[in-house]
Amino acid sequence: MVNIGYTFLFILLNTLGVVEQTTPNLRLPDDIDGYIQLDISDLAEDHNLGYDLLSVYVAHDHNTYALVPAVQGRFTMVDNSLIFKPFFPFEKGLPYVVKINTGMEHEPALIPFLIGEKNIVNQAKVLSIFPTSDLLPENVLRFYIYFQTPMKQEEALQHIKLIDKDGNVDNHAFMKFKEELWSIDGKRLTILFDPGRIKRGVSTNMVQGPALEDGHQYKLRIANEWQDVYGQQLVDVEVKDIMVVEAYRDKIVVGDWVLDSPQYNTLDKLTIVFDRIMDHALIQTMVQVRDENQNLVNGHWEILESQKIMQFIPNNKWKIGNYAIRFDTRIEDVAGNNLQNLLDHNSKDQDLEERYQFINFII
Amino acid sequence: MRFKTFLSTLFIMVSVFTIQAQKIQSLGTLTFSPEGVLFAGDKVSGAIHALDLSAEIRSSEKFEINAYNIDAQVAATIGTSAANTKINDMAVHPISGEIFISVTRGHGLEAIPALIKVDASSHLHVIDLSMIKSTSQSLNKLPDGSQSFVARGTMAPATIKEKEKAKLPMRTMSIMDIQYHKGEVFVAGITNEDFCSALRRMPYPFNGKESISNIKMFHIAHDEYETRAPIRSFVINNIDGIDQIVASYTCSPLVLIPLDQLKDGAKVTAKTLGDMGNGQPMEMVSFSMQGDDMIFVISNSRTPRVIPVAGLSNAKSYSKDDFERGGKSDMGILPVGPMGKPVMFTGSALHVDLLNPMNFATIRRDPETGSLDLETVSIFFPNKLNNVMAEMDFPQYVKEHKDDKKK
Repeated sequence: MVNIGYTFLFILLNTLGVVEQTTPNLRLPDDIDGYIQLDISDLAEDHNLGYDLLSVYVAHDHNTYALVPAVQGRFTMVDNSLIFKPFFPFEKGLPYVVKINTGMEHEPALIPFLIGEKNIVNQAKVLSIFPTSDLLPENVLRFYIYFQTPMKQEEALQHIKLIDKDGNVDNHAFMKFKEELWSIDGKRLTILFDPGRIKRGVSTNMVQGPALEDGHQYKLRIANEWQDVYGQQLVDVEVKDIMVVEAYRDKIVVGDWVLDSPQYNTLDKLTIVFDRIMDHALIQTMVQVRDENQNLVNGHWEILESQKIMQFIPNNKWKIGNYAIRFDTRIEDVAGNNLQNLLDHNSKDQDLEERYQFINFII
Repeated sequence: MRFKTFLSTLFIMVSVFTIQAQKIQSLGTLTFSPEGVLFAGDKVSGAIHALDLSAEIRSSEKFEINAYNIDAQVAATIGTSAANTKINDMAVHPISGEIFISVTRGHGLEAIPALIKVDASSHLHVIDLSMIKSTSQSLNKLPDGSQSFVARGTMAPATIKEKEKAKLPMRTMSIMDIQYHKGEVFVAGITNEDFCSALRRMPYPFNGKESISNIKMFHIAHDEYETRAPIRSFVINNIDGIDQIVASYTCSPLVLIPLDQLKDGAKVTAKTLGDMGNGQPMEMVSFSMQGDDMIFVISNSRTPRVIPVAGLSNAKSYSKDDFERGGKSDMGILPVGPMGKPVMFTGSALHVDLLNPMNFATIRRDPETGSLDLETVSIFFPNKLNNVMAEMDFPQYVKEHKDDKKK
């Protein structure tokens, strides 16, 4: 009670500007990197100019300052002012008290202050959903949903729904895992369609049918009731329209991809046009450009037009020589087929055993 | 000629700069050299920093340090709340006898390191790191932070805390303990390899050279040879005539590793001397009691243990052949070997160091209130009378056999 009353009091004091009026020779910090400035023109010449005169305390309630040490920092003199800057920045939303002991009054003056509001975190919202294309094959395997802030976990499928064009919700479209698939920072969720509904001939596929059907339209809806770890709801309902096209049932053949190779002595982009939408998370880490001495060419990848195009931007200008793009055979299209085999391959199909496949080009 | 001198000066400046360049991004495990250089593990930048605190002097010959609610006090001096403050380690300055505490202020990417001194009057001082002369040694083969642990679950579904534990990057185990010994710094932790349990050694003053050995050992409680889980804490003692690392692991084997086996690239099998019982050792401190060398071990799950170093000489080395197959627990045969005795302690110890030959300083949780306190306790009676209510606390109490001694 005391605590609340006190906090209220000094917020009120700050708002009304009473603080400045009562201590005209004191300047309080207005941001976290600020300092406290005290005009000491009227002070006795032999007065101690350290913590005895000016000290700042973290004050959770009205008397905490008496129980904990003062905030420590550096004192400097500028003209007739004593300046105190703490070693560490002030914290937004944390109540502080300045104690000024000039010896001129009976009691030291206590001046509370507060900087800004509690650390404001970014709004909770969906940044992107991969694959970004609206046209997706019937056997698309997964979505990656990127959020601006870390979300509350273990409740994703209560908020994420697949809805057909008549408004029917399919509650069994996605796999329910014991543990949801979150990135370490809690900002990327991976959801998978129940593979049983994608793989042909498996019982769930036969009973419930595929979650997505070729030629139909759907919506992936993320409800805004979902909160992030800070208790903020998503700012908007997020809806991704999906138009289903023919499933990817053919093996990936690297030779089907089209390469636009760059010119000598330029920073031209190296462009690969895929014949299908590739899984964006895997291609970014599993594709490399190497020169004829097997050295890695430094640069970065950009993914365009809903993952059907990937471009390599070199750090240095291209030199004459033979190059190869090395694809890890574990890279996948959005249906989970990799270079080794199809996701729902027949058990007698031979897996490709090579770890890498290459596309060569010459500059 | 003058130009040449200028060039060589420049060269020296540049080479000194490369040793000094590392920015202090975090301060974790601490240890002092006898000269007063503070070595601090920095898991964020992946380095050991050497902070020259050799100018600190002793202000008072004998003192006790008792700073209660140390987390709240540390938080206050750095202008934040206790919830935003994490105490990582403490070490006693060998000359001043005062206590240095490494702290993390804030969380995640916004975290900043702080170093606090608690003086002989139990007052806190924030050390201005920009005023301290320091050098750094970057560590090689560190885990990059991309890989985390696995959630195991126990006999029940995994709790939130267990899931949080699994999310920790393996890099958090890169620097577990540091000891300075005869001009060298020894660091226990892990590398980025599969056989990752490692001991690093590097000369001080740092010259950029580092030797890394991988350590394998037989784990009695787990009934297996282990190569990944790192040494939690260690001390260096002369045992069987040679300098050896006495190291403790989780759950809780005690092993010996001769320093002369720690060569770059070596795969060393430690000698398992016994097992202190289930739980996780936190810190080990060498001390001497009535002329005998002792090791004080604190654990996060058990009362501290005092191990006489004499018992580790010519001790049996345990291997797979000494036991029946299967895990071992406190309910069964543990502890095993010359593991000394469990002793009482003033609450639950998080950190401990030798304050002076007669006393330990410790950061511990109060058994009654849970408060985090920095406290001094005697090595002979490592407890405080405020923790116990006994016959002798009654006003009517008269000591029996009072006169026996006189006879």
